[in-house]
Amino acid sequence: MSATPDTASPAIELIGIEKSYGSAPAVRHLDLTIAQGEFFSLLGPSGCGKTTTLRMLAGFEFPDAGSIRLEGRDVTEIPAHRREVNLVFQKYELFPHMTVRRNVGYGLKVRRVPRAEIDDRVDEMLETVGVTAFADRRADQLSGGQQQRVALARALVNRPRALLLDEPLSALDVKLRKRMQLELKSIQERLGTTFVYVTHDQEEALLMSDRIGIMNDGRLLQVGTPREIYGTPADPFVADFVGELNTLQLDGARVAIRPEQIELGAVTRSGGRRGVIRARIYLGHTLQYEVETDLGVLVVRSGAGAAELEPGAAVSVTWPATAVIELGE
Amino acid sequence: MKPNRIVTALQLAPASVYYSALFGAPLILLVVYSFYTTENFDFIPQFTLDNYVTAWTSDVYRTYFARTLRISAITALAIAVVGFFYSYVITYTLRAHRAVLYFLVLVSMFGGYLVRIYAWRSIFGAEGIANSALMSTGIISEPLDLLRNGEFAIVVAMINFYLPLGILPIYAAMQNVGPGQIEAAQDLGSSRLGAAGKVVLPLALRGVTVAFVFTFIATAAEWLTPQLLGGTEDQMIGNRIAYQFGAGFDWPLGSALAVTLVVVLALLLGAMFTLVRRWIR
Amino acid sequence: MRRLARWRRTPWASILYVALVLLFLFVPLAIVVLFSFHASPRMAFPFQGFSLRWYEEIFTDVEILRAMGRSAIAAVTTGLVTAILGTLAGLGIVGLNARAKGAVMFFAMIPMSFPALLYAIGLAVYYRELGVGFSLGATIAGQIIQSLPFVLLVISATLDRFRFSLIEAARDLGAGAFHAFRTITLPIILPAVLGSMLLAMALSADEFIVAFFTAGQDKTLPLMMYGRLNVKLDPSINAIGTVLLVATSALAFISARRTSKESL
Repeated sequence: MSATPDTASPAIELIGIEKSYGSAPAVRHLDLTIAQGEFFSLLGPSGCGKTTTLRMLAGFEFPDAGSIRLEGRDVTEIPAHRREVNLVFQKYELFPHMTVRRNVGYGLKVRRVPRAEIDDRVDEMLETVGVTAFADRRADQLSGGQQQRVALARALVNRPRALLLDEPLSALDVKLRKRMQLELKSIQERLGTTFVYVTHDQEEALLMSDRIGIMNDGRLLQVGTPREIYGTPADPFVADFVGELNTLQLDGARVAIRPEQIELGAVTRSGGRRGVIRARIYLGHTLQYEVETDLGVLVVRSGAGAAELEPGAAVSVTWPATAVIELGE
Repeated sequence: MKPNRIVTALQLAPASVYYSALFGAPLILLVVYSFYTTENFDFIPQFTLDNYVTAWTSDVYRTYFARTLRISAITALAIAVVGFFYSYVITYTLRAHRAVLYFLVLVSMFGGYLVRIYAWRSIFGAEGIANSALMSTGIISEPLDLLRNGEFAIVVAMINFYLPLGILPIYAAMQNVGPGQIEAAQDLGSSRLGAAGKVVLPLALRGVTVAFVFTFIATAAEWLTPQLLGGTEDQMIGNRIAYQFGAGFDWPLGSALAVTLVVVLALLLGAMFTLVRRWIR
Repeated sequence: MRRLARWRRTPWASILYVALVLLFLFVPLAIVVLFSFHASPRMAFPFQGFSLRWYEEIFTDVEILRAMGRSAIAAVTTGLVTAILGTLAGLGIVGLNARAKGAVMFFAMIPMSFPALLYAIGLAVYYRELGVGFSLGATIAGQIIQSLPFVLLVISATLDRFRFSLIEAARDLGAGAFHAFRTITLPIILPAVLGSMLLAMALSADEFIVAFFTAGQDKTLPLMMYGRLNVKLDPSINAIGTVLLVATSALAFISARRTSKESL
């Protein structure tokens, strides 16, 4: 585990959480602390337990063991409708028979907030997410991107102690997704609400989060800032999951090196290993090479500005000592 | 590949002819008969409005109609409510078992009409199973009035028979509302019950309406159940109609009563629809 | 770290509700079946021993056996005719545009929601005017109308799912229209057709109201049961009822299995 945040009372604490479905364990002994105002992502492959964890935070599932604390208060036994967190669903789950306005105001109405206040807060939130123009349209007449914003508004308007997001951008196309990533980040910074964001997209997590928790097979493998996760992965799975890796045996130890940290130079240069270019792939913003060396085939990336090397050419392969990641076993 | 018109017409023809000859024609004739006169145990095509006058103004028949509509309304309402909650529970709360629980309801439908009424007859009544069971366990010392044949027995038996038919459309409509909707409502603060009313009900309303209307119409024309389970005071309009086609032997009057029933039902349901529609807006 | 009680998560109220509803639906049937095996003629608790005497009685009663025969004939005839008419009509509906289809289905479904009593008396009037006497045939004609909507529903749902591109493929390979129908469409929709036929049979076997007004002397099994019901408290009714119950349930069950068995 890496540096603990330094705010007084953590927004969320998961202590010793365990959950199984029948004989299949979904979450095995999870301990996690999330600070106030943090943008925290739970990252991992399908089936790793991140969604189960999120749903336990929301109150739709209950842990078999352990406790959940919200701002110091134990909420483990409290069911979803009385917990002061809100969830943005992967499928948005807007109420199709209601207008945008009624959807967003639903939670406030249930809690009997006075009508005038509901109108004000709803208008404000519609403005924040940018859907004021559709306020009186029925929810089932909106596009995917619009629905996503409304779902966000509907959750945030209740001023939850934490906002939970279950892969909210996965249904959007790439361009829209990238735009929403930045918008979400900006909204979070502006409002200061603690966000717990579940995703399987490591780029997304790296881009948006203050800290990331990597999960696999029900376990939390590492928690840290994006830089820490990427630069000093705690175990082979983390190293492999986040970013690309070349794994090799070096001086008797198993290590990994990131493709973008390998340099290819003229074969006459001294100090490097000898390699032969096997293939070159044009990725738009980078060039990717497969290079045969005595250590195996290495994947190397270089910026598109660098001089292009031809397949079949001999090159010298080097990397900085700091780029070597120990993989232990 | 659009099938050609002639083939389509030929395919639809047999059923259409059959419907016209064996459904449309009889009903038209029924209306025609309602204007006939009865004379010496024969029905002659002498046009008269007497039957309708009797049907609409006679005190006796008015009471029958009122009682019938009341019983039907209660039954239909009970079925809509019970059916809605049953469908809700199996669709969301016990979701994993919903197929089986739905199938069981369907299976119960094929017990049959007569069998059930006979069973209820033996349950209700001063010496029926219900009363005798309660008395033998000492809970009561005398047969309960409620458990004797009467309006209560009629309503219970009709609910028993029509409930599966009511659950069918409600369940079907509810399948279009995913469990995510309930969770979203809960996440925003609604209890399960609140979510049922605010989210599921509006979206499944069409099914609930079908269940109510269908049950209402079917029970309004019920005759066997009140005959076998009702006391002398609890007969419904169906009984009077059946009587006219039986011992009463006044087919024109029976026809007029039948047509009147249809008209009354149509008016009533039409009124309800406009009211509900206005209320929803 | 605490173990959280799983039993508190179980939705007890919902389970109880479902159990009560199912109990309510099945108890009357259970009672009839139970007392059909009652050694004594009383239909009350406590239960006094098992016996097959009532079954013996009904299966040796000539009138009842004749009634069973009539019910069987009615069921089979209704099933066959309804299946044929319904399948043809279903195929015809496929070729219609959405609006026409909606209208046709609407009218086709009317007998389902139209009260059986009123239809039965309509039939009585009709037969009288046509000079057609009351008989089993007259009853069968009416039962067909009552079953057609159900059959149509099943068949049109099946045809909705049917991939007509298969027919195009067959035509492309040289099959004539009827040949394609016989070798491709029919085999694929056959389970649904058979299933709905069984459904029609089940509906007919149990049908009482139309039979009551149009069967005349040709009493079907439900009519026999009704006749005995009104005379006195006859325990053999339970046996007749159970036979009806088993027959219709079996038909319905097989029907459901067949209709849900999707080929392709």
